[in-house]
Amino acid sequence: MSPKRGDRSASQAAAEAPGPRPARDILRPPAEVLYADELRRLAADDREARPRGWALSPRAVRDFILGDEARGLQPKFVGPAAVVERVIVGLLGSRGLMLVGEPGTAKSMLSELLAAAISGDSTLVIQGSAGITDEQVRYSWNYALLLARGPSPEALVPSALYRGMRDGKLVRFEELTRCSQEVQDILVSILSEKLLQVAELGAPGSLFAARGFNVIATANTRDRGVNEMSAALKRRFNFETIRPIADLAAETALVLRESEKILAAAGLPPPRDGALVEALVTIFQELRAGRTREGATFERPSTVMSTAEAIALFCSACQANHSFGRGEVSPGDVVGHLRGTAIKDAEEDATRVHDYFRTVVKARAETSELWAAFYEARERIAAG
Amino acid sequence: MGGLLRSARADRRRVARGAPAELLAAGRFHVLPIAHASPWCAARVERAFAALAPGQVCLELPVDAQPLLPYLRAARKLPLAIFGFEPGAAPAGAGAEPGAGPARATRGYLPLGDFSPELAALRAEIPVAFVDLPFEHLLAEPAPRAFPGLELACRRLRCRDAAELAERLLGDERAAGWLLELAGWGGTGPSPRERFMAARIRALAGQGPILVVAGAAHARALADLLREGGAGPAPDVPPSAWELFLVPYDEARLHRTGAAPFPRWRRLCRDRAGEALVPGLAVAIGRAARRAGLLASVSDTLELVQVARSLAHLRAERGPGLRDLLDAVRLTLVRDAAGEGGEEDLSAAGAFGPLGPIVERICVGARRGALPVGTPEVPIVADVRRRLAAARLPLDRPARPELDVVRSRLDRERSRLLHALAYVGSPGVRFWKGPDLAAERDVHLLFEHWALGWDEAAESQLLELAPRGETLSEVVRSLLRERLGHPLAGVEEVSRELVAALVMGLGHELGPHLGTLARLAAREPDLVPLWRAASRLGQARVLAQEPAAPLALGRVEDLLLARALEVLATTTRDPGEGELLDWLDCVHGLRVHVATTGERRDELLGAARSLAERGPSPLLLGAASLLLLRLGALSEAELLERFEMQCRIGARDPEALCRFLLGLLLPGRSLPIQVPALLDALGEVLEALPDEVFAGALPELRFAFSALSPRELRRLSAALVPPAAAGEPTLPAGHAAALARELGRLGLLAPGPEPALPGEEAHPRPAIGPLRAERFRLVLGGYATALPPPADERGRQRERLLDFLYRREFQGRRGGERAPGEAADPGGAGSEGPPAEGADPGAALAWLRDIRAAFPGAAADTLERHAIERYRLYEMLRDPRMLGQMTPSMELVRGLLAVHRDVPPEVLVEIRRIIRAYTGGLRRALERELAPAFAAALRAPGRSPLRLARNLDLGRTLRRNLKRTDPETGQLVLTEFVFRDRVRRRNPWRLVLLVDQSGSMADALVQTAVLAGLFGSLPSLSTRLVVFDEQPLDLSDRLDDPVEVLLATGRGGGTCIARALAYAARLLSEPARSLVVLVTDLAEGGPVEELLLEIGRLKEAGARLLVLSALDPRGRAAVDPVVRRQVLELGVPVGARSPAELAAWVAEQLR
Repeated sequence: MSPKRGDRSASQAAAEAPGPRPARDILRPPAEVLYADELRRLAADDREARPRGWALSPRAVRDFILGDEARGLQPKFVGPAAVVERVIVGLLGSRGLMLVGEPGTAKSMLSELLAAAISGDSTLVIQGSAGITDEQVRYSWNYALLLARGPSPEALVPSALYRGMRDGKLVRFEELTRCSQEVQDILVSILSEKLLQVAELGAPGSLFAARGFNVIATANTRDRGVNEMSAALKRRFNFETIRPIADLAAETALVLRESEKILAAAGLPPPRDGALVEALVTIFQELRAGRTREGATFERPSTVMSTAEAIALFCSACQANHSFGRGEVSPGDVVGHLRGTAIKDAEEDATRVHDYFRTVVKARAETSELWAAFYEARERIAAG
Repeated sequence: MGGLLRSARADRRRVARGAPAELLAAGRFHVLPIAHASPWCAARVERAFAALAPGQVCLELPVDAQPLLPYLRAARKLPLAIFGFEPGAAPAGAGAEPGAGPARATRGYLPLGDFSPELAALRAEIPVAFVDLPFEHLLAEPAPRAFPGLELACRRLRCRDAAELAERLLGDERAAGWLLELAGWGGTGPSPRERFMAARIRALAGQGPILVVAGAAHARALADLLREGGAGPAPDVPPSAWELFLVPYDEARLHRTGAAPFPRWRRLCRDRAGEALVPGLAVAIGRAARRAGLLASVSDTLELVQVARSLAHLRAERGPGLRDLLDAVRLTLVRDAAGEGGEEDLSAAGAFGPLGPIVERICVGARRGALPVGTPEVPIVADVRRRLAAARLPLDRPARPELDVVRSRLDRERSRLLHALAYVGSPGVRFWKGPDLAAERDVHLLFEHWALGWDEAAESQLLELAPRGETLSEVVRSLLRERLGHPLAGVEEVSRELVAALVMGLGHELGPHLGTLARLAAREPDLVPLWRAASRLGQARVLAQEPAAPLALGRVEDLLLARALEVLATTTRDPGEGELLDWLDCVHGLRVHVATTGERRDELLGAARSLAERGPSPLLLGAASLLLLRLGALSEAELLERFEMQCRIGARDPEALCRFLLGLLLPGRSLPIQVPALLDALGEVLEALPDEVFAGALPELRFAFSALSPRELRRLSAALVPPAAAGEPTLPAGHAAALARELGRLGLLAPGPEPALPGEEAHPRPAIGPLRAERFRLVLGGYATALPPPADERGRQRERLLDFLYRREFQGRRGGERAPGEAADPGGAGSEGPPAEGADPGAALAWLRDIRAAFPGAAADTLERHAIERYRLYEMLRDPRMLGQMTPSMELVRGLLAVHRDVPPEVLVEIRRIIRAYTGGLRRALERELAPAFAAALRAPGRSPLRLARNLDLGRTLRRNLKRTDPETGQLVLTEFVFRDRVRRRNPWRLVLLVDQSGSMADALVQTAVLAGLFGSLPSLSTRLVVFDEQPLDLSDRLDDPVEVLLATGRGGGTCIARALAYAARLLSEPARSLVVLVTDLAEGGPVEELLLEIGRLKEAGARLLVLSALDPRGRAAVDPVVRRQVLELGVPVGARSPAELAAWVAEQLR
């Protein structure tokens, strides 16, 4: 049977011109590619007023992020609706948006979704780090061209911020507080004047931000080695704290959903044991807060026990089971993988988690078989 | 959700047809559904009045509150509440057994505010009937079931709060109609409550339409019942005995209890629409924030309003409401990560951060209602007011009455009343100064000083007591019964309650309770509570101005004494450290009592003999010996023998000697004066002790001797020094003998050979050597004026420091009777000692620093412990207001580090602030100092032979090749390349700082903590910080925050450097590229060989070591010289370096 026309043209195209890869070949497609269909539908049905420079109206952005079953929109961010409303409105004004929270609370994911929905492009990212320089934030030069023909717009290599200002799109600045003070201060004038000067180019070098430009920054509260933000910079941001998911049912549903996606991508059957996932999520929530469901407190481990890690743990347990043919995932397997997740750099954490198992899990083991299985596997935490 | 949409459509059609959808009509009854605290519903009520013109109104308020109607009508200042209570019931929880389930409520409040629709209905001038269940049953009803449909609608419309949604929708005529359809869903038929209401409504006479204002949850059921007419009789409701009154209420409570969240907002909404309010409130919040010192400029306020409007638009609301305003505040004004508290938490720790209290003030409000004149008051409130007025005490302004209970009858009445009020815990009265018989304090004073401030808090508290009784006396009796019946009450507690009752004038009712006390006493195993109870009762019997004190009190006192003596006889162990003084005091008290009353002498003698024979500990032995001496069973010579034996033991073990002395001196003060040979024996021992040991025992010795009064100390010192030549005033011989006889007759002096009083010395005393004199002077203290002050500087310093601390012993005393173990009260009047200095923090902190210099380590630790635990010298450091005023300094930080454990959170906040300020200043100073050392050695990149594009040093490359240009194209030709050395950054050196956290190293600890932060920020150095005492504690994860480091340190017991070095060895992954800096004074608690072994191991592995004794080159480098020499021999430098020198050393090693 001859291959379908579509197939042939696709493979021919791939063979002839090395263009962008099709979405299914990219390891992690950006949100605007992954949800292209939803965005298109929303744009078509959107009757509300759109702010200048925005691809969707604020209400459509909210529906995109929170999901709407009636219209076939998946929920992408699990959290209170008020948080999403606030961050959307926070981007409407002249101030930037700063998302603060513990690691693993989906700040980066939220900023990606916002950028995808509002600007249609979530790839304008600047990754902040302790060694970031001013060139990565503003612009740098193609030195060969610069030396050959002198300063000219062609010799300029724009940074993501430059491109966002030029094209009127949202720019994502991850881990802003890890940058040094000088780099943070660059943002102060850009955010207040909305103007970027390229001194070498003279008068035509002034870049005024187009409508639709704004900055979404994220910051981690867990790192201790961060520079404090200056008051001038703080004033130019709207702050929103993203908290870990408090609702057990919501987090369990999220873990199940995401695991299903990841496992499906790896060709595995979806997980069937909801009770196991719920117990796992309970363990994570309690270790995160240092408090049990009943209200008793204990010393919590210093590592971050975020939802992302729970998903990763469960998926790796499933994959290990599948690869080495052991059947359904059991609590023992999950506990075996817990060590790598929960105990990262501090050995005391092993003791703390072990104590948690010895006290809290043991108490529950008396009434529930599932928890009893968890309890029996506790030695695998210490032994590894 | 099809049903919802369908009925919505149906209602739209109905509205379009013109029928009023908001009122449910049922014949002449019209039911108006409302939400209870909603200002929009209040407006609807007014509109319904205008539209319907009813003849009567029925409200969902309890029937038994009907008599309160005229007062409610007249009320102008709200919020008020209907307060109901069950007369004669104890409050829930009193004496309830665990596991008995939730206690029944015995009182409750039904608050009403300006915004309540019920109040709007009341104010109209037509007859009003309350138709709900009686209050008692109303409270017992479960909460009305939430609309199932409303929850669903909330989720669909993405509203946060079903309650607020209901309120807004019910206030809006267009929406209310279909909402009622929802309310009728899932109904299980009318409840008994609704039947009751319907029956009462139907029973109303009168003409004209009748408007029923009812909560939306019941509206539909009520309407159906009324339509059916006569359906079923009224359900049988048992009569309620509760009493109802109108009381003032306040807005903060409305918010806290959830009855009406954000009452001020609701009140404002009565007059204006929400959207008009938001800009005004935003401005108010901004201004308040600025006044509080937070960042909130006018542009921030503009942004705030803008965001609120956008949020409202996004949520498809008509205009910005409270939720939008609060969300906008969180988004724009709250910077930094918000606190851990919940979303609704308006405290400073909640989601609003420091803006929480501001938001609370502006949106929640602080108004309090007032009752209209003539409203009947709750009986107990009326009773207390009447009594206060009868006692001529003011109710409207604060007062400080001074009562003369001995001479004035009116003052006695007042005292009884105020004591009764204080007993029930009223916040309006405070006992400020005066004789407190229950606590046995200041009993010699004659005047009582009170502070009286009768305010709303005091009245509210009385309401809580209303179920106990109608008058204050009833309440007091009920409380007394409860407390005396408490299962955990011991002898002391019961005796205290009995004395308190006596003072309140209830002496004639104490009979049955004395039996309880007797029973408890028979079971009590400890001496202290028994003696205290006995002395308390005895004192109260004599001093209380109560003619009704019964004889029975005396009988119980006897019983207690007998039991106390029994317990004393069978004591086997020393009392605990904290109770030592109390126990000895009790022994002293017993002895004096036996001596003055002459009773029970044999029993005391027997007890003392039994103790002495068993001799369980030096302390008990001392106490027993004293008792035997005083009772005449032991002669002085025998006592002296025992003492000498103890002294011989004491040469080896000074602590045992101190204990013996303590046991001897505290119960029997004047002993050394009467038996001068004791002093000789003691003096020999003291002289023989080496200096170090003497200095170490000095705190305890001084403490033992401070049991004596200053006068006695003076006489002691005079007794030590031989009498001067003639001319010194002495007592004539005849007078001395007469005095001795008189004292013997009174029983204050044991019969025996007449003691030698000064001036009648039988044997001339030899002169004592200068060393002994000096040591005695240090032991006896500044009051030993006959002895010369210490000659050398160090001795003078020591005396000054000891005096500073131990003179507080004298401040707690009153006329001979020592306040047991009482902490120093800086404001105490009438002390025997020098005038009390105010709690001067600077002096106390300087003291803490100086003792380290003057005393060896262990003694300094003891002094510090005494200061903190016994004299509470550092209590001022636990007062947040005081801390707020103090400037950060090294002394203060040292003091704070000593007391920062177990402090309440607000104090911890201040402590952090101070430590942060100080370490911040230190850090800045150090940064400046260290910049040259760091820059020169650590940042300069070198050249590297590795040629990788990543390492290309472009600047230098270009500069080097500038001279080569291709003439044709004009391009630069690069022939020579320069690369930067990045290897070092990938493979950093490791620096391990080991810091000793014992008391003597406090300065160095603070400086090292700051330095560690500085070192940690260097890229080419990986720093670890470990503090140690007995065990090492790795604080590397909080390296950048010196405050956290310092707060994590504690005061351990010993010092084990070897263990710390072993831990450090584990941290070195590459010893050849590691530096270990040990900050300690080398006072090793364990064997020194281990320490040297560890150092040797580290050196062998290739690490570079440095031992710092202080971080201040001028500082006291009090290193143990022997150990120092040994460490130097191993090749490790030991010394004191300044921080710059340390940084230079580090930089040099890295080169």
